[in-house]
Amino acid sequence: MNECRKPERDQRQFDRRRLRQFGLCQRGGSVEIREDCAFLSASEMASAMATVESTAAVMIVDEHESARESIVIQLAADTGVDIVADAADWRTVVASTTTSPPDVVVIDADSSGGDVIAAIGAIRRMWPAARVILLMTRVRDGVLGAVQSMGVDGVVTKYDSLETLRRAIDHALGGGRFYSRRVRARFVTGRNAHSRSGDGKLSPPRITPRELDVIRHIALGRTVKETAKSLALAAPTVDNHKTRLMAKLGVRTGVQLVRYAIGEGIIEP
Amino acid sequence: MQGESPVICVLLIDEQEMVRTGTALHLRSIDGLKVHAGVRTCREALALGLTAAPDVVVLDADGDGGDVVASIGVVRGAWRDVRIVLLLTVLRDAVLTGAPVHGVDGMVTRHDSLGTLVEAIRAAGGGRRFHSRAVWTRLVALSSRRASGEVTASASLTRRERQVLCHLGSGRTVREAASELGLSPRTVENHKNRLMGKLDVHTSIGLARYAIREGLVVP
Repeated sequence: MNECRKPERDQRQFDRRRLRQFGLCQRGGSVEIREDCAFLSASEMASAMATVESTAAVMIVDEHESARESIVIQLAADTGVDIVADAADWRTVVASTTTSPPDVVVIDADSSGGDVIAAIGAIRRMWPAARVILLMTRVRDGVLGAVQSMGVDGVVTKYDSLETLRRAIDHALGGGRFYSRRVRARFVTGRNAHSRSGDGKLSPPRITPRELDVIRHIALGRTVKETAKSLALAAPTVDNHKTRLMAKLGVRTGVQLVRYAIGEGIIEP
Repeated sequence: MQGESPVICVLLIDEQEMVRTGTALHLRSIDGLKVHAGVRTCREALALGLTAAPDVVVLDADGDGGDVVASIGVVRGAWRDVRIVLLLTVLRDAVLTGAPVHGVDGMVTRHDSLGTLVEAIRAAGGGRRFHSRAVWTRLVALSSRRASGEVTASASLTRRERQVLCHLGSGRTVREAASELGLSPRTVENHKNRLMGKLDVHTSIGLARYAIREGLVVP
């Protein structure tokens, strides 16, 4: 998989700006020595090309300006990274025709106008070869489940270090998937349901529609008896659903269940 | 001109590690600021054992489980005269109205730029109060709502009741809350009953939802 992506990436990585620094210019898909700057020897040219090739074009989308600036400052200091764009809103980068194609897009899950799924979809359509790394403040199972089905290449939280993000970028470039330890820890809390399927993909807890009904009622403060009545179920059945659900989610108390339900957007606070 | 004003020593307390390290890098590049260190939580800040008190603490309002009043208390307890600039991820009304009361000198949101944060730090260092535009807009809206007689029930809670609400709302038991607050379980139970009466909320699940709605607890 890595191999078939490679030629395409080499082409895209010829960042015009960087080439110009070396007196080179890009024409079509190939690189030429600019006529007014034809002073590079073959070995100089080779090293110039090597620099260009090993640089990852990274785009950062995060509505939180000071956070974005803070991350950009650190990544920009890294010679292996070239920040091609940073924006508060994914719509602006996707709409902009001058943005050079990124190798990796780092996007904040909480700041896409609430719809990170749409954001990732739009980015994928615009730059099909780009790798996508999701940045999260709080790890939400719902978002995780949805983005996994879209094939996100990495998930890192803002509580992780910059080195962790850097590792995720490298992994993504190499065609791998990367979940930070904090993200993986989340999958382990509900031991039974957070299964590891055959391809090593981690999956968030799978909640059945019935369980969702139950969680909604309980989180709204209804008793098991009231829930049973409103769902036309027997009280012991509801109790069973509730017990299984709490084990799945790794929560012990009703209050934790409410926090989960609100955090996941199952009920309004 | 920068050289004439005294250097402001800044301590960054922010749980978002990858953000904090970059913010520190930026602040270090600015004349007149000296960045002490960066830590995740207030408790870590205390464990640093700094010999000199910082002039300004930049405090993540959502750290330590989001109980900002407790966080401010810890910082104030360690350095009485320190200036505090709050860094807010979301504009929570309870924090906005409560923070100035607890002697916060500036508030900026994560939506604001690093430049705005620097402005707030400089202002706080000079003994002035600085809130970013987004914070002001919300504060004005809040005060006009209050002027028109709209007061939330949470305003009628005492400091202790609010603390108890934070603890119970985030899922702790009465016993756990009591030991955190250094009170007897019976006292906490009393506070709980009184605040449930004031809020007209009578279940622990109801309390949790109320605390989240009011921004006292992060879901």
